[in-house]
Amino acid sequence: MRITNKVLSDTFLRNLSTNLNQMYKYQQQLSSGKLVSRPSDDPLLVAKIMSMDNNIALNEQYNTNIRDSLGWVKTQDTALADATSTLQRIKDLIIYGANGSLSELDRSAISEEVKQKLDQLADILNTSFDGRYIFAGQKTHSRPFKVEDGELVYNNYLNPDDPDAEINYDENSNNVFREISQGVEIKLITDGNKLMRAEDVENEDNKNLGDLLSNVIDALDKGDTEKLSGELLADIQKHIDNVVRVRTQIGAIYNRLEAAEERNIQENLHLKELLSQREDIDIAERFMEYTVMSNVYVASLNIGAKILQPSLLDYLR
Amino acid sequence: MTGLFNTLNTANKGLMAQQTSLHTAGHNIANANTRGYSRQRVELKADMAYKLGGVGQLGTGVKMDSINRIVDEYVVKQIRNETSKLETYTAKSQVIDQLEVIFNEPSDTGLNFYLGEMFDSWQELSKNPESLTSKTIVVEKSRALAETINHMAKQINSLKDETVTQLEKNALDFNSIVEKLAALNDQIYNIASSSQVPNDLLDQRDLMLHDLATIANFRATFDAFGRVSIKTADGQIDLLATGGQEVYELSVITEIEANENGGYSINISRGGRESQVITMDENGIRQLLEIEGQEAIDITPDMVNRLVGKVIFTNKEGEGLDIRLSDSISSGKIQGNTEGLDVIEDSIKELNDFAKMMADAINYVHTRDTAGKPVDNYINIFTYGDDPASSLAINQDLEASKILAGKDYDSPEGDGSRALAIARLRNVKLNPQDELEFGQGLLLKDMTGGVTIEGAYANIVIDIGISKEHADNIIANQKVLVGQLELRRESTSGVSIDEEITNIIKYQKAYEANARVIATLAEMLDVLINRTGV
Repeated sequence: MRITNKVLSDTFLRNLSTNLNQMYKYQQQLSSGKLVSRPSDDPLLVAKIMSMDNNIALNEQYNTNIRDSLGWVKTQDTALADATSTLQRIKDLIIYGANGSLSELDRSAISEEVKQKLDQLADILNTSFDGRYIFAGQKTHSRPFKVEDGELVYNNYLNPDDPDAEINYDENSNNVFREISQGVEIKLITDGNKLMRAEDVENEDNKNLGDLLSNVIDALDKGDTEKLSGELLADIQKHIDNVVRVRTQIGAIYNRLEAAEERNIQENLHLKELLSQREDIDIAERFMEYTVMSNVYVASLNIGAKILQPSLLDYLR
Repeated sequence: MTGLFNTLNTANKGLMAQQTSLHTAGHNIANANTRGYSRQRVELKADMAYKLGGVGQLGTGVKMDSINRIVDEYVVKQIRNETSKLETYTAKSQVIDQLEVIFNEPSDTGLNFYLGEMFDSWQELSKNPESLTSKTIVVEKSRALAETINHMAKQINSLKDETVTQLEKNALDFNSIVEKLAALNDQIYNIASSSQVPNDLLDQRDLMLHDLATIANFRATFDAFGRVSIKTADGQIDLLATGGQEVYELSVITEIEANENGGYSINISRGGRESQVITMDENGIRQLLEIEGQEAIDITPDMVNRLVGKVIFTNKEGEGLDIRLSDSISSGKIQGNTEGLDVIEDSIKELNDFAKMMADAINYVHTRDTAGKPVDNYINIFTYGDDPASSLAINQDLEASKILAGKDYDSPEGDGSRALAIARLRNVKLNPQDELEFGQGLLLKDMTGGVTIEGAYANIVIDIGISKEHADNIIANQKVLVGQLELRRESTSGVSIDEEITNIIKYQKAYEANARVIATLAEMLDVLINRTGV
């Protein structure tokens, strides 16, 4: 093949530009820290990266959901602990009041304290979290418990016109839901009615906590010690058990949320690690490659300067 | 019989021949870096010999036979074809490159990000259904998403316009090179008809053909004089003729609109210079589509839309407009830009489908009761027109308070079930072909063969990436091929300075030797004339 000066210079330029292109690629990767910057760099990898980005963002959203729910459930737990001890105190008062040797004055003092406890119980059950009542069902902005004419009442029935509907209501409809991971919803128990009704109480009059407490006050006022030590004492224990039962359920939800948070954090770490493996460059490796490439570049410049210069003209005269 | 004057003449011819060769070497060196130049060589041969009685043939010196340019026509033609292919993918890659920039993925500011933000805002609303702020955020995030999609659609459309303008310019360039070639043909004819070879003009001709091939492929034939005539690659339409045939030039369809009487009004950029509006009936459109290889029984707006940017052939001279069609352009910038336009159209279509799919799904969940029946006062979140991507907007009547977080407006304020169902749309696989349907409660059912909304968007980006990657790979290969061919051309036709300098020394020495012959003859004549006899 006949080689002319232009063949030399063209080949040199072409190779130089290939080297520079490669250097440009490494430089881009080194300065951005990322393996790819455009879909065409590696379309399938970009697809993976985009879907991982989405999954990470989604996971972070789930994480916020879980943490919000944890706060909510924790508040509920504390409230129910307080409610239980309040009820416990009422129970003690009932036992105290059932003592036949008490004077009228003593008993009215006890009755007064029970009334106080009634207000306290309403306050505890009206605890709010993040501006919302936690035992208000889905009617989170209306105060669920009230003491009306000395009686504790629950306001937030699903169907206020027909409070009896409470028995048949769909239990799902009056709780709130959170998505804690893809496709997994968790039900936060918010229905205050659940706290008011102890289904295992046989006496219809005492089934409702409000009714029971009115009966207690009534019995205290009347000095009906037999009733106090009999059905009322038995039934308040059942109501305490009911509240504890709800608290246990809430505790189970709390545990589930904690496990979910653990899993969520693990998954997020895992996803981020996977993304980093796919997306990020190995700086040391890339830097080595870049150094090698820049050596090649300098060498080709050097050689170019040497082979392009001489011609026959240099040796004539 | 030989005489001294005869010898003098031989030496003189030698002088002339060496001088001419030297001149040509100088011409070669002068053009060593001229694009498209082929080195030239003076072909010398021994001149007609005398018959010297009883002795034999007596030579009469050198004769300059011709000045040739050294070219390998086959390589030149190959370079033309391969460069044309290289240009196809270079132009295509440039168009898609801009498209990639518009989509701007992977990044933290692309559509993917806004899409995630929008779904997150529903998720937050599902947790805080009582909060008007959360609803306002949903409205604003949805608006930001819609505006991002609008902006992208707008950018893609202006890229399309730009590419059509580019095609007009390609057509104009092609036509003006053809015009220059016509003038060159005349010059070549003038010189060649006096039986000389116009070497430099032929170089120019080849160079122009090379430039022409970067724009579009064609069929070139050369006549005995070295004039070129150009036809479309399928040989059907004359673009440059030497025999006075009617010639056509490249024109571009820049706009097509359906008019009210079932026809179409078409804006043609004639020759890439002036626009002219014509009307065409359905049959005309059908013919255009058939040339593209589409059996068009029912003409769809998408088909018509894709005719924009199509190159057609129109009469160059004469009255009126005569349109010829051919699908023979298969390489060069025009083909590259046309393929780029196809990619653009595909992404517009996919973006439209994506916008529609997303808006429909969200609207569906927001406007129906659990039985899947639309409810009057549950209003749409998104509205859109014919082109969903560019017309996607937030429903004008939508205020934050009209966002339905719960089952219905009468639901307790803490009910976020509908917001949660919309947030969970993020993971539902949808298929635009099928009817939307509720599965459990307000959750949409996964559809067979469906993709998630985010998946549908990622697919658009990936399609673009794959087209660009493919084009870039071909460019890399084609560059190597063209480089090799150019080396071969250079190796044949290129000027080697060393070689020319060597030649110059050779010619100089020969010139000096010829001069020596003349000097010797002059001495001999001097002896003969001045010193003999008297």
